[in-house]
Amino acid sequence: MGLLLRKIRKGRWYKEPQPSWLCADDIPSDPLGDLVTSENSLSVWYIDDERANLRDVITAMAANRDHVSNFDYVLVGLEDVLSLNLKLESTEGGSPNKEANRRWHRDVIELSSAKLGQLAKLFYQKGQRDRVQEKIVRSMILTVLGEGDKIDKSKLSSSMQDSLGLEKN
Amino acid sequence: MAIETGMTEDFVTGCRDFDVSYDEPFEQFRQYTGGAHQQLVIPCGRDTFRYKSINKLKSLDFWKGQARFSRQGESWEAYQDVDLDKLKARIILEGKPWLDQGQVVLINVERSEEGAISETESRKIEKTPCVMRKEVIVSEGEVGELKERVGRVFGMGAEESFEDGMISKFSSEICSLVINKGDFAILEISHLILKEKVAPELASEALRWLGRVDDDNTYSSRSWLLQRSLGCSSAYVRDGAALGIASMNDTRAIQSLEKAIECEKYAELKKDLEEVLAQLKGNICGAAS
Repeated sequence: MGLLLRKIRKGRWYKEPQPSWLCADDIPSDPLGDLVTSENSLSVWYIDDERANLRDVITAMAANRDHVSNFDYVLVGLEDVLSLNLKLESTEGGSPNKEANRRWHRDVIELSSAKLGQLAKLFYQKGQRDRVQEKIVRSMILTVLGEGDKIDKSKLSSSMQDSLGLEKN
Repeated sequence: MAIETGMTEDFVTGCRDFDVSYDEPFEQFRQYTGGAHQQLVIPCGRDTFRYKSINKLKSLDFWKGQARFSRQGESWEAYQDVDLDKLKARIILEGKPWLDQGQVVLINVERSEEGAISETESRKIEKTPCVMRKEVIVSEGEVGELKERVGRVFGMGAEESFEDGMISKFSSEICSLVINKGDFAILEISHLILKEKVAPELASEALRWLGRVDDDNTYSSRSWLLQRSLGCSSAYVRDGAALGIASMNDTRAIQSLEKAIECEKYAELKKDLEEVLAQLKGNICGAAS
């Protein structure tokens, strides 16, 4: 069924050892800082089972920033998300990669605080967290820019273009 | 003159910290050591200047005959054989001809192999203290203002939320402070972060940006702070320090990272630290090949 990706800051998610004040079945609140909703929806990206589009999604999201930086993310099974009775909707993403925006962007919609809590718990307890180092992110973006029109260079922020050492349009 | 000295072993850098308190006219004397950076903070007496920052020790003429520095591998040793009475007298003597009363000066000097330089070089520095390197000179009053400003910036940051790769008001202010106030700003920021007086998220964000600032004049002091922050109690702060080091790509941090990895209790953070270490070691291999 695939996976869902949410960008995070790994520093908020370190989970070992479990803080002594935290109940066994509860999670810390810091990760909620990475799950900020808008109009009761949470933006996520669909990743296929083979993760063939993972690189494209990460590059698209990483390019949609003010400057090149490490990219931290968490992946959870789509099946696990749906098992919480959460609704997903395909919506247009806001990255500079049109195809990625159209094909892989999703919103988890109609999120109440309780449902968001359940989702946070899922991300925290079952999610696979990873980090792409800044140096690699830079190389990924430059590679995609060099390959053609996957990423619209004109959609990159001026500071991102500076950060990449690109000549501005 | 009473001198109180406190010395602690730093697990990250392996260097020593000194805290020395003086009676009047020097109420306190703080010296940071670590990496390639040495910093002295000397509160102002009536005719003296207050700050002295040493990145490298080529022009140790102010201390000629009183201090020796040596190197072990890639690490700097702390001061040895320093006569603090003479050091104070020397500063007063050398400071008068070209510093106004109450003025605060920060000087970056270069290291020599011997730890001392010739009289010729010494005189040259006396005549042209401000052109030897880019220097930040601030008045005693401005030091207080800077402290307040740094506090305000961190206070303002507490109202913001941060995201990787995104500029914030806080990050812009941190960069501005470093570029305009140099090591003075780093000193104040160091105080807040290393003494853990600010929220981990803020400290982490500041460290990430300290690694990104394009400013050669504060390179050593920023590297020093990032390495020291690997020993902070918050994993979030240690992560920010590691990301800052990765941005700087500073191979001098290898030893600190290795020690931090040994001590790291969070498996995920340990892995991230190892990746930064691999990046830095890759740099060394790359340079060698």
